[in-house]
Amino acid sequence: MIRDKKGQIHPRGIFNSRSRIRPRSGQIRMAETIGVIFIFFVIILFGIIFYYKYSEVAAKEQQEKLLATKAMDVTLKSLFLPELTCTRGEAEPEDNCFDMMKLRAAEIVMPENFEEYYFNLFPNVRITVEQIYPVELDVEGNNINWLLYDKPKMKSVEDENGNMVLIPDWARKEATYFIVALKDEIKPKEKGQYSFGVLKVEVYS
Amino acid sequence: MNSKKAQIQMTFNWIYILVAGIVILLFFVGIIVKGTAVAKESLEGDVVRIVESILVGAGVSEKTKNFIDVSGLTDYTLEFKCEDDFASLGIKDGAFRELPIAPIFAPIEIRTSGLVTWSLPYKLPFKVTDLLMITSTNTKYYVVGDDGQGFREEMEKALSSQEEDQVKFNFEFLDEDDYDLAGIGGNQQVRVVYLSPLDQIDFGNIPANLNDLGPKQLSAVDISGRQIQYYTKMKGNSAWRREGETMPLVSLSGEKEAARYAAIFAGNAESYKCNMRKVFERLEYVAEVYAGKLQELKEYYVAETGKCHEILTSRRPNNMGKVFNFNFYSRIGTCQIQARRGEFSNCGELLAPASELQAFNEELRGECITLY
Repeated sequence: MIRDKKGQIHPRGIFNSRSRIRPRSGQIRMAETIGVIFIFFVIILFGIIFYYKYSEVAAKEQQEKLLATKAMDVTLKSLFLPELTCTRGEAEPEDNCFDMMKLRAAEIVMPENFEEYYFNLFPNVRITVEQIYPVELDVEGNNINWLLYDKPKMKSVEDENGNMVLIPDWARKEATYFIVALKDEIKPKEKGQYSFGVLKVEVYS
Repeated sequence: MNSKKAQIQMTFNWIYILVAGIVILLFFVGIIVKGTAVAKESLEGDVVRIVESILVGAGVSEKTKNFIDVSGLTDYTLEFKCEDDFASLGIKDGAFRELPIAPIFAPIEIRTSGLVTWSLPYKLPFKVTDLLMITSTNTKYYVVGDDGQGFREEMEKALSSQEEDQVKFNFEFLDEDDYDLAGIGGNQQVRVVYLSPLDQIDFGNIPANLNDLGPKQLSAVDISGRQIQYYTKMKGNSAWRREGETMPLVSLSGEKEAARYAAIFAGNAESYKCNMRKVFERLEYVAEVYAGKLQELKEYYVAETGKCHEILTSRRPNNMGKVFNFNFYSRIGTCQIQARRGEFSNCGELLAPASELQAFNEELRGECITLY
């Protein structure tokens, strides 16, 4: 039994039941509100996760596309390098042809100057020219080839002795191939001054 | 009492809803604003990348003219900057890309629906690089005077738009009588190109119809003789004002002199100097490759005593090897240092040995292997 403020006596249940009704409806409303807000934020969270995943995939696709475009751009630039192309005096140069005498000189000049100059032209790529016909092998039994440029992506990290060391910072290479003629005028004409080669451009990513 | 409490609660509920609503709204507005900024940045980046990609193709295709429809980019002002050691292609006040190597001669700002590109090889005497000239269909060029050396005729042939042409250069060749008829029309900017020395012709003032234009819209270049002088408009005056020093034209005479055409298209004196500096920088590395080839040629012909050996090594007083190494290759460094300061007189000194090398190369043709 409980006495109220006016001194009237109530059975415990009645007062309680009235006093419970109000807080219960408020609690329910509060619970409803919290529920709605919770569901709202869950939906937002789902949206964010979905958008994040989508963006991640889209960014990856975009990166692939960019890499392929970059590889094509570098190949295009390499094919028309004045340091390599076969010239004919004042006339227009021969298309898709590399002068072997220039190629042999460029094999020394380009790596020597890549930091001062060529890096601005070919960032993080590897450019090689390989003779495929007639087959001529080097000492290791591979087709003879010329490495013109190789600048992989690198990052510096601290080793266990506290020294900074450079380690490769690339996951994959996008390669493009282009068939070129290799003209070597110091070869006797009867043996053929032209051979076939492949220009290989690999872009580090 | 209860109703008062309820009223307060009701008011509080509304305030709560309002605050929560505003917070949620702000959250979404924030996302939209951020998203818009990112999208704009990404779009500008895409535009610059696409334009750069187009220019790579245009730059390597020797002697080709291209019309590029950029009607989708009319909302953007393309900017071609080259000052001191910094060169870039970009959107005005937006994304840009550095162009440290490629020499691009173009107006500083272009807002157009059609770009026109033209690539010409720069030879000294061998090909050093391709000079890429860019202009727009709404950049008007008035060519005035005549150098008397046939350059005007060559220009008319190369740059006048024919009906059947896909590529529309906006050039007009004026005579003295119709000089004052030159106007801006519907174009964005006007460049007057003088083929006779400006101080020697009696129509060297700004054409009357162009007098109201500002310095950003109107400029002139005098490419008469073997020198280049840029002019800009003087405020409130109908006379031209010199822009920078007179520069020597570092180019071997002949057909389609790339450095001369480049002067027509370069935005201003600074841009021309900056891009030519890139050319002379490249010259060093290309010449180094040719030095290697020359050495191999000399070794190849060392055993014989014929014409090839004579031209390459033993002819007195001069032979190709001597001219290349002592008069040409050794001077490139000095030319470069001076070019970095925006002066080209030392580079001009390369012309005489380059001309000699050209003659030796012609002599080699036929019986011997040529240098280039």
